[in-house]
Amino acid sequence: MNEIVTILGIIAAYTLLVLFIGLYSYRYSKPTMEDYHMASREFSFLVLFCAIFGTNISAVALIGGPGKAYHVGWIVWAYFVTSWGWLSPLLFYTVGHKAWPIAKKFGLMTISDLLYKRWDSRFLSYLASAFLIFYTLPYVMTGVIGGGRTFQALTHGFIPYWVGALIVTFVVCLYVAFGGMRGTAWTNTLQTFVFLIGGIVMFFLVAEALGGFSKATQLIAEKYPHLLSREKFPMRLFFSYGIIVSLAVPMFPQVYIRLLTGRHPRELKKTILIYPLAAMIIWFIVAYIGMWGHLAFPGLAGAASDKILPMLIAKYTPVWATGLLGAAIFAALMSSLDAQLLTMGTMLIKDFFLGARKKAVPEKTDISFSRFLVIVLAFVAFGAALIKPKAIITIIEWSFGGYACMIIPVLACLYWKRANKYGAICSILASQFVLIAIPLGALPRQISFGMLPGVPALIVGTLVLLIVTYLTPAPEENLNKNFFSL
Amino acid sequence: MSLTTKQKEVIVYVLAAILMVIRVDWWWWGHKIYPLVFGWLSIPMIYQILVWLAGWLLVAYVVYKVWPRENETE
Repeated sequence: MNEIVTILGIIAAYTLLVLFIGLYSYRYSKPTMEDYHMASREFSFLVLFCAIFGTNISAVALIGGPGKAYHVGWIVWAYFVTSWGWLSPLLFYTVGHKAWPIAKKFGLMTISDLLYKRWDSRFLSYLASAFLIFYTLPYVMTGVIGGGRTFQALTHGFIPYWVGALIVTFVVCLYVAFGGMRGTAWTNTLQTFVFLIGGIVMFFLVAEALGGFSKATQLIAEKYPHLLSREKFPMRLFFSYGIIVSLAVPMFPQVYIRLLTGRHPRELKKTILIYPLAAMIIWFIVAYIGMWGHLAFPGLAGAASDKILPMLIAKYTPVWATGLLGAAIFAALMSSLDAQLLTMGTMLIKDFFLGARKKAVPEKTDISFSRFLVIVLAFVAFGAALIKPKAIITIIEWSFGGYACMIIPVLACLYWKRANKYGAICSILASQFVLIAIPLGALPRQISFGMLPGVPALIVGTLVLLIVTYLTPAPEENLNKNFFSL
Repeated sequence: MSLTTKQKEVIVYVLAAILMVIRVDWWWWGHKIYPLVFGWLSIPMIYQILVWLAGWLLVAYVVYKVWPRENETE
């Protein structure tokens, strides 16, 4: 019982600190939509980096990462870091350095905003938003589910699943509703430090307990050589996942929006420079902990390995470390959940409500409505987390490919003057159709050549964009002139 | 001869594409490997670290040499 009280005390102290920072940011808010949703685009490097990185790293890294490494070995860190770790920051440049000045000039926030400004097509804007919301909503739900499960696991069931889920929903909802973008970014700064430092501490504690890096790895080589040889990891999956995840991350709506919140391109430059290092640290840690976990807890099957990190911490480290682990998991979890929640609200109000509205309303009313939307979305996610519909897992499996395919119209929008709305619309429809049709069996799996369905979807989307663009009229000159006038 | 921003970008993206292909070290994949360096790191692990490092260098090149100066002004 004392153990649970200590763990809960650490987690409660951490949660209250996050809540305090989130609510404190409210004091700096201005009564404008630009401030609530974009924090007036005034972030400096450190906050911008943490806002983007913290949003990108979810609890999946600290729970699913070691769990996967338990089964397939060290290759898990290379799976992410030798592709996404540097290619996504490179694409932050590709997208960000072009989009930032345009978004600042025209007050754009979302991906759909950008597409609408370029091609003046409400249908295209709705289509892009609909797909992005379709893929993001399940993630919000999994964040809440993860919160409930983590509370339950760390307190050995003392806090039931639904109470844990409710606590996470309530805390995140509160500081997102009041703090808006500033609140989420400030809390992400703390959260990023907590999960990075917490991860490093856990890495050394576990390695020490297992006899050190060298001894643990030598034992793996003797007892479980497949974890070093990678024979259980399909090479084509390694190749295609690298492409898909790297292209998807800049198109995560919550990441894209944050690319635009720096006060100067200089801040984004520093962010992309440090990103690969932070990516390496977090994934290196989780992959080796997961692999070494085989020595302490052999024979875990399937998703049971997702608990390997808490199991190792509970077995080999003092109780405060379990509390630290809890705080690190919650940090990773909440830093994604808050950003997704806010961005969902931004997309709904900016892409749908404001776009369709005919008469002007005071900005304060829009901000209040934004807050209301965040609260509603949070409790929809909580409700879904109680029901746990199986469909959300299916949508999440599609989502990386879905996000990745969105980069085709976005790059055409930013770089190709001849590109038009017809090409962009058809590209989205064709790529998303291929992506969903392959796993559903409507198209033969063989066209993927053993890779993820996102790869053929990307190829089809690109070809359709090119063909349809050249078969249809070029965009109006004044639209291009206005958009590319910087 | 100094390269234009566009030329530098093309070089970066071509190198990125090459890196994405060669990160799959199919010549070692599935073979039995042993930790060599510090009794911990194996050759394929070090190879993957080098791929990551090369990717990071590409990012650094973009930051310091490619990112257009005109965007520096607000």
